Amino acid sequence: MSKPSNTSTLSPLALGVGGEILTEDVLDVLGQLNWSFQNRPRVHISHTTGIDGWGGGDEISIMRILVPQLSAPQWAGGLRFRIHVRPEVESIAIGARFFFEPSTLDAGEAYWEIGGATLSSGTQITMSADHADNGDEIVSTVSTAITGTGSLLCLGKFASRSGSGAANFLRSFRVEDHPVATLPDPGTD
Amino acid sequence: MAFDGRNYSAPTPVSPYRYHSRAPATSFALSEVLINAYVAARLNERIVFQVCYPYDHRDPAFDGSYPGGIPLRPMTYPSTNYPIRVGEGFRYIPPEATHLRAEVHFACVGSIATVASHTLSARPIGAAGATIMAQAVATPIDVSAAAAMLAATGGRFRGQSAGQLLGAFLSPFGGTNPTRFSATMELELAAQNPGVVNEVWVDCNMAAAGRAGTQYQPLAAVCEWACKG
Amino acid sequence: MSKIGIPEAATTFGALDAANLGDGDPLDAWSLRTMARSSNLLIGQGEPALNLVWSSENVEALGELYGVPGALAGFGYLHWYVVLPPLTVPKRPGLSSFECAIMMNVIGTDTVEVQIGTNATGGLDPLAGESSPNVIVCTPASAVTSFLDYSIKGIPATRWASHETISIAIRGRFPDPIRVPSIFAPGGGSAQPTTAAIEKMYGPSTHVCSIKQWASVPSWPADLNALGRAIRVVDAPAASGGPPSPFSDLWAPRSLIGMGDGVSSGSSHELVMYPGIDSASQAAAFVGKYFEICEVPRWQICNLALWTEDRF
Repeated sequence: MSKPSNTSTLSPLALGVGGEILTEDVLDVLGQLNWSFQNRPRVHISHTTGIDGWGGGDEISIMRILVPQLSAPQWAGGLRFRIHVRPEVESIAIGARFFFEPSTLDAGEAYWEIGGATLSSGTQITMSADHADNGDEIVSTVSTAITGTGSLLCLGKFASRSGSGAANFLRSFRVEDHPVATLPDPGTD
Repeated sequence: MAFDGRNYSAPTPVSPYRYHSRAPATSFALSEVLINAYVAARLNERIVFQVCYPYDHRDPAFDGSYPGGIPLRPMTYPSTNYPIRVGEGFRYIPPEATHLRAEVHFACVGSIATVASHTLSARPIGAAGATIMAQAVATPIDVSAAAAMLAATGGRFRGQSAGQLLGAFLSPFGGTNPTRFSATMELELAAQNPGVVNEVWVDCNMAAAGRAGTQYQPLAAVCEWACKG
Repeated sequence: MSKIGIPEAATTFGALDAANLGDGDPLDAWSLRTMARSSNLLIGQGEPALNLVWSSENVEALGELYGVPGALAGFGYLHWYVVLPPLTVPKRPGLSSFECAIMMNVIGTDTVEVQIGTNATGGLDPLAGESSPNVIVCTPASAVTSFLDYSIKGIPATRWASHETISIAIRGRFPDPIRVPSIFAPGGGSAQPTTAAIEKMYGPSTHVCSIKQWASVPSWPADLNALGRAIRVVDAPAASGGPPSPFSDLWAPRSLIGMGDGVSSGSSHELVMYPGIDSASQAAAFVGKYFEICEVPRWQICNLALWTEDRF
């Protein structure tokens, strides 16, 4: 048999003191418990970072996360933050929305370091984007077997590899847990 | 199927009494487990996006007469290029979510009474084009009384209590000082929004009559999803 | 082994197989305990409440005072100074404390304190200090130009609320040894005095007060208050060209928050300070004593994160 994971409409008032317990009810409760664990993945950070005019209007700069034009493999630093990852989490997703100048067909790269997933170890999380991706979110994932869990230091660095636009930038980003695919077994503590 | 747990908001830790030998009320324990599962589904992990604009706090004088001041960048002058975005993010909206809530902090100073309108919007990422749902909140900006507050000579801080903290985001002085406001919005989601990744954003639109001579600066915005009964 | 009356929470969530609860089988205590422990974990584990980022480009290294978009930076003025608007963040009901982690670059080995106000702390307290549960003391062990991690646990939160309003204030500690800056008249003019005998205290109140010099009128730049300055009042002058005065402070240093009436365009001869005097008699007592213009700490933050702490 498998581990149930379901939403329930059972009212807790139906499970009154001294009342009979039906197997179906217990399974329903177990299913809702497992479902609630599995379907509330954590958003660690979700932040807007655009420069002047980032929304196409008269927006004000939030952060100078420019994607400067650099010859590979140079990068410009931009983001540094900390997240807390639960031990049950299997993988972490990074979403980023860039703006690359369309008139000059600009494109660029980003790499993210999450905990043990670092540039020096060759396990950094890389992204590529170009002007055709403007408006979309680029998503990359990394396993917690690489990053580790617990308190993790995160970095974000960026570079523009082609085109001549001086105003390429990171518009927004987020780091979140992927929903746990396999419900974990109970521990022995 | 309607989510039955939306009315539960108080977690109930299950005591070991419930499962020790000879302990009564096993069914009660199950009810507590179920309540906790519902509460967790309703209230865990609600952040959608958060943004706080950076400020160079190197000049504490906020009477507008001296350089620096509260925002890192000068308050933006109005133009016809409204609306302007204040904050945005992408987020999977749980199927059980019924609302999005946002809180916006902004500074505004002008020469005439006007209205700053903030709108919270959500659009599934697969749905190009028009916004699926949006909710606007209008904040009246009445500057007529504030203009008289500050002494003409400048450099003085009136009305500060001894224990009041100075800083960029405290109660304002008027005149050339920007006045701080906040606005909260609650957006009831349409059927298309829950269950998929949405683009969520807050933008600001100034009433046309007040744009001339009005300056606006967003300070921060936070957004969360909610499950309301 | 459980203790009667004290809820247990699993370290990690454990999902039972449906076979544990088969039709016709009894509901055993172990199964119920496992469900209870996982259920307690689900409601009792901490989660992110606030996670904000600003540019991690080092403003000090760039040598810029203004115009660095994306930097949350400032001076550690000697009074609590609010640096973020009060933000309402989601919070799991039942959790009663926050952990806060800050990545901050404090110049040199100065000390900057950060106060986190919540609904449970009653917001920000102007009298909060190092011993307060919601104050982080940030002092680099050595003078490095980089962001270091500072954190604190046990910040009070409102247990049964599903939201909390968070406010952040910063205060600097008067550097030791004190640092006296060089000050020049506007437009790259001559060096201006950083110390002199006080001629008169103006507008004395507990809110603000000022020192105005008339006899030997200085030409302090009108934006001197934007450079992170504090004012000491001491009982004897510093030796000319020598180190800062070793003599007694007559009151706690005040933050320079404004430059008063200008004498000529771009210059000022009045120092406006906050807070004001402690008592009315100080206004007369300070005449003839000596002021000194000193530096306050400088800081920059690239990340401020707040999580609720686990309940069990």
